[in-house]
Amino acid sequence: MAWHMGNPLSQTLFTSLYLDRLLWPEPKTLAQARFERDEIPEGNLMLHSILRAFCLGLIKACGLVHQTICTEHYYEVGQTQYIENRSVYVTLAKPM
Amino acid sequence: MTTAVNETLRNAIICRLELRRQLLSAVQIGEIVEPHRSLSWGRCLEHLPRLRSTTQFGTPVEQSFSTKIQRRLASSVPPRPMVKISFNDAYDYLTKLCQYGTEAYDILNFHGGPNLLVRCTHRHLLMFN
Repeated sequence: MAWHMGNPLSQTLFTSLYLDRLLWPEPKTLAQARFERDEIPEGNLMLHSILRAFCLGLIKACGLVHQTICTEHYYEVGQTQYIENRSVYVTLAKPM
Repeated sequence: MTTAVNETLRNAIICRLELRRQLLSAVQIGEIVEPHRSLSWGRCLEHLPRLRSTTQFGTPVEQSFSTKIQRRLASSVPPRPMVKISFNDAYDYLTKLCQYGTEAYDILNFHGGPNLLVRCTHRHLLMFN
């Protein structure tokens, strides 16, 4: 939620070690986005299945929000305006 | 080998996964505005009370976060402190976000220009008060 409120990625999402393990090195497919890249994990279902699913959903949702704002027409009057736009992105007009 | 999880924790985890799924559905990008997306925001709102009530069964894990990851970013800016917000602030913001999401699609239900103006003004006053 800190990112949705308008705070930078580097101080919010990119401080999570779990998200970092999923995103770096950059995965080319969904199957590559795992906490352990070298081998398919067999144990610890909670981590590799449930937490992974949650993290992937989190990353994708934030990515879609970012994409929505970047593809809309808006006029920046400063950093504050951009942050406000992102925090209430649902009010942006969509092409109909 | 699976780890046994008690009923309370299992319900808490399922609630959070369901909320994630509905949030993802709500922010999907489409070419046209689709009124049914307000249903996804509404379902997100339904999951919030259980999310709040089950938070007490979790334990914060500070070791899962680090500002050292910033060193890898392509930026000359020195590492900045992690932004931490309280659960209550995050919960209130998420609730408002979901409410705005359900209400934003009401704009499709107007009939006539003056009615749209009244509706937008009313929503604006509700959102920013």
